[in-house]
Amino acid sequence: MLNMIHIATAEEVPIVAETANTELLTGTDAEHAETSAEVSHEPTLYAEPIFTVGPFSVTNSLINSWAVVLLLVVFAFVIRKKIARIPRGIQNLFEMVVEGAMGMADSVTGDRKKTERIFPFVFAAFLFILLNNWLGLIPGIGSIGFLEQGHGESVFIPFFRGGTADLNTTLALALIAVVGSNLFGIITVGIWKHFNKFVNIKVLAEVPVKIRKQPTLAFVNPIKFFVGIIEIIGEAAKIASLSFRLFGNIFAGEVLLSSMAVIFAFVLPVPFMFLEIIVGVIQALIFSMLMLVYFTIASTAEEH
Amino acid sequence: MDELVKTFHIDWKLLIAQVVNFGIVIGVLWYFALKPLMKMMHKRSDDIEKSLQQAKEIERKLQEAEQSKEKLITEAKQEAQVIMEQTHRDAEKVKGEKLAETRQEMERMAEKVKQDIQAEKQTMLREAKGQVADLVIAAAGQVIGKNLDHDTNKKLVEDTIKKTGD
Repeated sequence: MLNMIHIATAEEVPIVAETANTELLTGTDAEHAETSAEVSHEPTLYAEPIFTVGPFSVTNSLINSWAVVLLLVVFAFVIRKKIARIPRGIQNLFEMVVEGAMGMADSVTGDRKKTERIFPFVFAAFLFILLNNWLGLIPGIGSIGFLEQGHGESVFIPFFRGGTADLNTTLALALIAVVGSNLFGIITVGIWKHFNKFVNIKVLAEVPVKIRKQPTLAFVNPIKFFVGIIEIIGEAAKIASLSFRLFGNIFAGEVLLSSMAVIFAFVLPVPFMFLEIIVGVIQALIFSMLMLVYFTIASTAEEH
Repeated sequence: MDELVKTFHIDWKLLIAQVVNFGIVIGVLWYFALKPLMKMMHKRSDDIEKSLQQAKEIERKLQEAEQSKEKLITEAKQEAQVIMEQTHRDAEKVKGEKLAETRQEMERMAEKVKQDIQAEKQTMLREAKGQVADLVIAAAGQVIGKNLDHDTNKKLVEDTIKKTGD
């Protein structure tokens, strides 16, 4: 339940909570004043629901993601309006970024045409993750919230939480990356060829035909088939590694920042803040680069 | 797996919401920013390539024009030279002809004048001779009188004239 606006800063755990309560309390909330002295401020592993729309509960990290979406949509519209043959201002900067990113992507795909097909997905993922990472760092996000009663103690629930500090977000992104790469593979190399990357029927069918010329195929091709089966597990592993890497890094960053703030709220968290800004870029870069690699691998026909 | 879902509060509704979010980002970013931007960038690089090619073409044409100009000038010069020489020769020839003609004319005229003079002189001489003979006879007759007859006289006079006249 939404009891009051609660400002959570470092070291304030009992004190500020009390003062805030006394200032903001209304008559009916008076009874909570005592209990909220032991407010739990631990960053949780999961995003807390803020409000519900029908059966759908909106979490604080979802709100942050919406903010990012809004930012990017506005940005896209601004770019659309500003596009001119002779680049100026923001277009110039954006073109520079796009050109650089495409050069980087070229070094992975090795083909400009392929880059141009994959690039929109990867670049959108990069911007989305980067902004989500950074938006979680803004002061006030993760520290402004309300108190909720439960199990005999008050739990502090922030209104906002970094979008990528929620496994739901990163899992969704990872699913899009892996499913998208497989779809891309189907589109570029064809459904039969792509299917054979995992369940390699082609290799098995080859055995009785070619076994007279190459008797070794009897050993090699079953191994190839088995490798294909392992690839299926590999796809699942990709989802797990992508989602948990991003979530882990960003969540750890938030935990680090809040614990630093608890030790000493002034100046001390600043270097860690910079560190987290860099981590935000690096994680976004890693995620999008891996996504690019998966797309590239999926779009190349397997060599035998 | 159940433990995982419980620990991280994985909710398929939230998952779908995030997928939709990302889908919107991809769509909007692609349609409104990247696509027109890429188109513009492609167009620009095409334009640059084209104009570079055009510049090369123009330079080539300029060089060609320069060369043809040079050629035309030399040709014209040569032609002018030829014409000048021809004219010179013609003029020389005409001059020579005219000169020769004039000389001939002059010679002819001189000849004619000479002949005329000669003829005049002849007639005059003849006339003078006749007159002189008559005069001498008359003078001699008067001087000598009738010492001599007419015939002998005349004969004598004529002989004398002949002697002096030649």
